[in-house]
Amino acid sequence: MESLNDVLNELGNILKPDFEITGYGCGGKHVRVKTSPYKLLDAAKYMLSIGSRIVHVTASDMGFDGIRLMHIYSLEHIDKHAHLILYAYGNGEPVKFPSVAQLTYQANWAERETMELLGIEFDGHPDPRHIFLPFEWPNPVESSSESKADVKQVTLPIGPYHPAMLEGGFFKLFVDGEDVIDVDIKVGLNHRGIMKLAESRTFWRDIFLVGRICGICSVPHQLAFVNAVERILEINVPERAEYIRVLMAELNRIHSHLLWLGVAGDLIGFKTLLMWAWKIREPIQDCIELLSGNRVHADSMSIGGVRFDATKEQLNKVEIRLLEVKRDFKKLAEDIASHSIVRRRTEGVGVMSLNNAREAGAVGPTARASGWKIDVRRDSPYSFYDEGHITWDVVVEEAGDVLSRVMVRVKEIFTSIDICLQCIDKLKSVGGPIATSELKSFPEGEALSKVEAPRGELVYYIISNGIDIPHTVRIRTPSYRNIAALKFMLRGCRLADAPIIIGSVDPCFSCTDRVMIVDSKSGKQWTLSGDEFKNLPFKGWRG
Amino acid sequence: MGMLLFTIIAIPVLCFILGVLFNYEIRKIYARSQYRLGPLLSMHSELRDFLGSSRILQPLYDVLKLMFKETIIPRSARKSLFISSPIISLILAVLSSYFISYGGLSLFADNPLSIIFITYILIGVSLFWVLGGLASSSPWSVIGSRREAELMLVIEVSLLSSIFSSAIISNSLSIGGIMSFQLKYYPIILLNPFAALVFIISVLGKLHFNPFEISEADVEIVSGPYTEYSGKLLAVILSSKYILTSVLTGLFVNLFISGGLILPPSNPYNQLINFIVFILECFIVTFIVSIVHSIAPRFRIDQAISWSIKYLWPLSAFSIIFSIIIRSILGVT
Repeated sequence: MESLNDVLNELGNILKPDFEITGYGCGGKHVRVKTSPYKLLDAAKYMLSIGSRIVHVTASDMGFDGIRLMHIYSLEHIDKHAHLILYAYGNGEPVKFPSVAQLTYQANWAERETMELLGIEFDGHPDPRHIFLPFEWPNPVESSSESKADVKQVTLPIGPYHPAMLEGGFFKLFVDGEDVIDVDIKVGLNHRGIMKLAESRTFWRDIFLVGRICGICSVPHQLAFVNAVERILEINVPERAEYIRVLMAELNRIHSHLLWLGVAGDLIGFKTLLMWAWKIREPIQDCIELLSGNRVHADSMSIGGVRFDATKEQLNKVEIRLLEVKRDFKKLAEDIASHSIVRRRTEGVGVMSLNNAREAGAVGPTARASGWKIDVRRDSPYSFYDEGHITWDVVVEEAGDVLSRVMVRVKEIFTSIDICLQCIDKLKSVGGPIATSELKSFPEGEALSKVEAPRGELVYYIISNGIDIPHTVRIRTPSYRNIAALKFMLRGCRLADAPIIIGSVDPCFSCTDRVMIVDSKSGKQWTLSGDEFKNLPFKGWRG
Repeated sequence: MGMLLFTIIAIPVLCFILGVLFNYEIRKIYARSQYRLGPLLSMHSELRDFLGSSRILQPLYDVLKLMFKETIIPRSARKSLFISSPIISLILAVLSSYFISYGGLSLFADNPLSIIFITYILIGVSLFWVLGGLASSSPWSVIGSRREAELMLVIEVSLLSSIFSSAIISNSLSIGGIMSFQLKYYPIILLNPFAALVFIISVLGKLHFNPFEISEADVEIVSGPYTEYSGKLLAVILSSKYILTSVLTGLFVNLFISGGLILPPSNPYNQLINFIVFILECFIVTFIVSIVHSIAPRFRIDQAISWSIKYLWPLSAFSIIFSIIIRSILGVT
């Protein structure tokens, strides 16, 4: 396929007569196509055959029109920014759609989530179990019982609470001796209903809400949100504001990667690395505090600009700090790369091949460590990441093991420091306002926005119906994809490697568990895992 | 008789206090190498009145605190084995402390077969940790015990060979004899540094320090064999660990750096000097252990075993051969 138009023409032939282009976004690169539900599977087959990947499958209740199911396909390998948003309306009780999860694992979790949120039924879904509710929850969807465990195997629960993870996630490992045979992943142990909350607040208050999805990567969440809103409003952001946005996002990436590096060190029993990495991270936190007033939640983004300007003195201080961090971290990075036991523990461990990464739809550093050159900053440049303003390279490693996931992040820290220094240089000469003055009332419209968060591609889809409260906010966080991809890495590994493999994708459960309304009956999910927990020792001892 | 009774009581107490100090040192150096301050005082308020508030005794407070806590015994555990194994391992640890010569103060160090006894007893201490873990019937404990047992298989071999290297050089199976040999000739660490190196590595494995912190790997298997232990039983395990720390460092000092004997123990003044030198040497050994502990991450169990078989065992074998050569050069009879 040569261009986006070719793809659309071909798709038009396949979907005839249910093919209607209903709108464009992002300079004509985000194409919204309406079709009918039973054509979705044909379209998915075609899109996957041309090498496109499913970014997200999501749905929204559009009232009179019925439930709208949206498949967001990325065509970034054909054209920068190019995306196809294919949607269809479904009516009935319950609403039924064909499942694309039977074609690709990428849609698996997304469709399970949509089942939970809107009660849609997907025909032919390979694993239609609950994802946020407990498995035993009364279920409109027939739940298939998971009994892969052999009598001779020991079932080991990692989580919901486990020293390897600071947040609640549940990994059920089926082990034979020290070898992991299979793994079952259950997330959603702590739901906060942020997507629903965002649909009941104004756009302005939502900025602060989405920042609270994750403490570690609050800047990318806010950046993605305001980008989407700005695309709906069709306003431009002043140059100075864009540089400050890039600066804040990259500072956030450095601190997130350093935090991860420390945790990874702890996971292989190297507490000294944990402490050293976090010591180097402190000056970065100080820089964020200096610029925004807060160490963790910078809250610097605003629709049409940023909330804080950076003075020359602040920028000088940040520059000095960054150079210090670069010097210190260079030493640490060399030590890590040459430490024989660290290499022993990470080399060839938890290998995910490029094919598996594509199949699972891994994103961010996890995908880049498998030799897949995807980076939203390069594929759909937002803010000032395009070539005209800042120069940088995408870091790619080929091996796909834990060591290459470490090295990708280590190298990205240096890249980020370089980007920050370039931003500071530019900020010293570029003047002007930090927020646009051309704000207007919110029109009807919808927008897709993607940001490269420290963990990977972060997707926001916002539909506005003309008032200052969004009709729909849909979020797909990078960890959502990477935790699902863990299945491919954990199979066949050693038990001692399981924590570092789980850790190596930088799982952020607070991102993953952002949805669903908390029910007063949710105590039930604890009895479930509690029972499992109680029974497991018996199984372990006697089995 | 009175002197004997005093020694029987004094040696384990001394050993325990030394273990507390060594553990403080290890924690402090571990912390300082990570830009941390190290143990901050945290203890039960009732203890503060009669123990004072010195941070040096933090490992002691940890044990005493556990004495105040409830001991929980899992319903699925083999109760008798679960309770008895930490106690037996403590008894064995106390027993092993009688074979160490504390700069001259000792009970059985001069026994002609003291090395044979102490090697058996040291195996017993780890063995009962393994048994206790198995008896608690938690999957974490079972896996931890399995790892501990696998590690024992390789580590004990190198420990024994390094102990017997020094026995071969000095032509004596008694710790006292080895010490008097070193007083007469040179410290064995100079004669056979390979054996000393093997011993230090084995100590890391025995005491679960990095890179052999495998059976207690907290992020993988919670705390291995001790996962289900709490309260007084955990305090017993901790005490046996403290005593084992000082026994193993003491054994190293006895076997390789002449056990503090720099002067012939003919008068009390010389004995005191020897005792002080012994303790200083122990602190140096602990320092080396804690440095290795802080700069190395943890091996995976299969890596630890293959690494030991590939490098540690040949080195142990070489140290024995080297000892025989040295002995023939020195002409010890």
